[in-house]
Amino acid sequence: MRRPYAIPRRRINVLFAAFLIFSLAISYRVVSFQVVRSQELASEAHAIRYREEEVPAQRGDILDARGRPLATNMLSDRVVAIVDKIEDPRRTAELLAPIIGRSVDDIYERLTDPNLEWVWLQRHLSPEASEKIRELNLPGIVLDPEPRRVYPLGDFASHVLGFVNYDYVGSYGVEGAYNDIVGGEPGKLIGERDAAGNVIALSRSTLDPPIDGANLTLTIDSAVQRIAEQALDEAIAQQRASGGTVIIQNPKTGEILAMASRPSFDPNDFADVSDPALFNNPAISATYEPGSTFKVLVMALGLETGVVTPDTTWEGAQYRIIPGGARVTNALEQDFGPETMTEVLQHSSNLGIMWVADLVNQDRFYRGLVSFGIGQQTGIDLAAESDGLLPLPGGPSWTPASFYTHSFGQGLAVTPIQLVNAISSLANGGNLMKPYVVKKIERADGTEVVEPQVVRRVVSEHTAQQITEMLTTVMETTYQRFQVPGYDIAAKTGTAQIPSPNGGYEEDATIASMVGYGPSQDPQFTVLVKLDRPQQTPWGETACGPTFQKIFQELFLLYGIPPSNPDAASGVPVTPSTSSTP
Amino acid sequence: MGTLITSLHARGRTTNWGAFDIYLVVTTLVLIGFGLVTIWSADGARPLTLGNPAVRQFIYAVIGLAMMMGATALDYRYIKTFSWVFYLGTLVLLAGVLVVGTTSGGATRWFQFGPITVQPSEIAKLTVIISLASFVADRGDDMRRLHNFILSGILVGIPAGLVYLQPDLGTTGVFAFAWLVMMLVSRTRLLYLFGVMLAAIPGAWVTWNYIMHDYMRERLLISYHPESDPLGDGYNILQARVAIGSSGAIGHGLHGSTLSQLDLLRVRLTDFIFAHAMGMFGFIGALALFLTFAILLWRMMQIGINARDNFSQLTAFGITGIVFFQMFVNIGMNVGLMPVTGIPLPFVSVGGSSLWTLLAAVGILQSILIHQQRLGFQRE
Repeated sequence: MRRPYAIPRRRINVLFAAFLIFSLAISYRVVSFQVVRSQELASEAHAIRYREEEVPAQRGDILDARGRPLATNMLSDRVVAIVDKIEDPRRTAELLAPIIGRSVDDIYERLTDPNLEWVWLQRHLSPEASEKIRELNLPGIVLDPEPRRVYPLGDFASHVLGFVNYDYVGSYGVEGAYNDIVGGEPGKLIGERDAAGNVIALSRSTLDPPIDGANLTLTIDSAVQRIAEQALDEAIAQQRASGGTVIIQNPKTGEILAMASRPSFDPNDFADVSDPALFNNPAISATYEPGSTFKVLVMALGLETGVVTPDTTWEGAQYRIIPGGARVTNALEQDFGPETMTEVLQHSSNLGIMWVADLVNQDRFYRGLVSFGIGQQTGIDLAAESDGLLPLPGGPSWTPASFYTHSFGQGLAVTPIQLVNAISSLANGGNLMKPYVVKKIERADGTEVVEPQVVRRVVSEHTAQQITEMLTTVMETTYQRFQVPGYDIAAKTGTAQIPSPNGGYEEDATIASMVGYGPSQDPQFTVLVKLDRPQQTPWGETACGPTFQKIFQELFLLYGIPPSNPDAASGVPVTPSTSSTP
Repeated sequence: MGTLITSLHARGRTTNWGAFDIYLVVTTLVLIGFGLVTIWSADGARPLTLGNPAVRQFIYAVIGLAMMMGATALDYRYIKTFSWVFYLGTLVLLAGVLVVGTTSGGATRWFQFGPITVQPSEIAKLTVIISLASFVADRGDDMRRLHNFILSGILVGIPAGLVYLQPDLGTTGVFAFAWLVMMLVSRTRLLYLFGVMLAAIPGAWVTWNYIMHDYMRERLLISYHPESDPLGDGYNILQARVAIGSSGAIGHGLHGSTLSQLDLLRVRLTDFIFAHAMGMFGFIGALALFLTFAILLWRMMQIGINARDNFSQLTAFGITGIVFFQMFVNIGMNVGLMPVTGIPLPFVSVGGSSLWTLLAAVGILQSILIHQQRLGFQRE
């Protein structure tokens, strides 16, 4: 027998040491998970084990000023495929394709995606489509009801309303701005999960009930909105304009009675809108050079500072060289000779308004414009309002020439709502109001009525009175053919060039606008009509005048406003006593 | 005294049931029991029907324990004698599984016999150890010669290569580790082992870049960045981490392991059984498990240290090596230290092939204890 071989102790020790080191390494990891990171990991475990389910809140309705629903909810099905349970993907796709409006290949691809357990094929099905799918009774195809936001009037007031996306979150407009309020607060169901991940009924589950969303009542009156939209559509068609905006505001309260822009969209089919820029509400987000409509504000500042009265006369001129060397003339290089201040507005005289601006002086001029809210958001309760642009002395884009061009509305940019709101302050006797579109918020626990809010007094009542008289004269004379017979209206038009992205202005393209309020004795409505790139005539007066006239005519009719001069109203078909309803 | 030695020599072999190691059996049974409870709980604590994996594992364990006793009663020297048969049989099985085996999860590892699946690479772990032990023991001091060292590597390399082709990187690693441990306790020169270690560095680089499949590289890397794919490959690793970390000192009990009812640990009966067990039994449970493994491994090593012949020494250390290595890799992957490679936790993870192989191995160790010659110079 051979002497048995004994394994050298040294080799055993090496092996033992290796085992020990490896063991210590895993022990260290266990201890580090257990002790050092146990809190963090325990909360992760809790999150896995206790499932928090959101219990959705009912979204509130949006009603117009007269209580008509503009946005409400209904249930509609979505088609969901449980990928594992689909027996014949090709046939399933072929059967579903015509019903849900997707291509066979598209559906087939979704049904055979190996990475998915389930996939939705289409949402917001019509009741007929749901019924057809129910009848097919395909294995693995499930109909899952989900709430759908419905806008019964389609694209009506769509820029004001906004829409609700697939996640049921409001976007743009009132839906976006009031999402938290109209959307309510989802509740929480916290429960232990079973093996399938479902919450076990009654097992230590707690429910925070959802708080349903508030119903919103808008200041938008659908009758007024209808007037605005129809008039705008007609004007765009007639002028072959690329777009346009109409805003109708109650100058006394700041309430927006109508706000319409084109091009627009149907919030029911928001997903089909190819260019998301269409969702932006041009009435609050599109900035433009106001042109001559701006002279109203400058003249008001002249009156307010006392440097001119309506009858002050200046000598007139043919042209003026402003700092920087530019030669400024009146439109079409007209020389009006000596003009009263009222005539400056009647003629829309650039040289006249520059003369006023000089008297006001640069400091008071800009203070006044800022006070009118130019270059700032009005704070209207809609999402995504723009600031506009008012270059101020000392600022990067301001030059000494700016002071003069600003006086006739060039070299600065306003939003339609900004201008309307500023003009309204002249209509209501001098107070800048905060414009708003939601006037009532009805929550489960009470109703909140939004009160009109005075931002600040901009001009005195006397000034407001004077400028109203001047603008009424302008309407009576310059725009005589667009008057509403028997009614006094204060108005001013503007024709602005469109700044080109390459610097300078676009050729042969204008933004025509007309803004005003009436009846002059007790203004109920401030109206802005703005047309982008009218092709028929470039001028504010001729492009917007007919629309402006038509809107006021219908507003007076709708609200039953008596004519101030009944004798002249012979052409008006309806007498006030019978016109209280449209 | 002389009489006894003579009588031993005269009979050549003897059976000394008194040397039977009760600790080895007890620790084995503890681990199997621990496994059964964990499997039952991890499967959702369902009724004990034949479809329940815990019940099936119990049946495997009973059969396996019978096999263990059979191997114990059988003189291990017969096993050594027939080791070449085992070796060739193993090669046939490993080659065969590549041809007619069942593919699951991208790997061809199983023979399917009706409801029963057999994983030949598990059986190979034991047969390769026995064959290598026999080869090395027969060379004796000649193992100091380089060609024998290389031959031993080839002997292990062929089955390891076949397993790699399945592909099963983890089990390939088990063979490599067994070979290293057995070479360490053989009479070969340590110089060769150092040489192998040095060669392993460029070897690993070549393997990583030119031999390994993309999926293998990804699986290795995901272990260290499970967050990069929390719902895919990193899922189990993250869930295991949560289960271990949140278990506290005593765990959540049989029904309460964080992930038990949630079907979240997808392979919790095999790869991630440790995480589930910790969820149930907490830190105390893990400590008990470690302690049991420590005793088991200690007893196994003692058999190797005290073995009277070379084959027994090598077999005992080889078995110790694979039990340790599999325990280390399995727990290591539960705690994010090792890549996820499908190595079962010895005696605990579900699976008949692994359990039978390990119980047979324990039987062989017992056989070594009770059948080895007691030589004259030993105290009597």
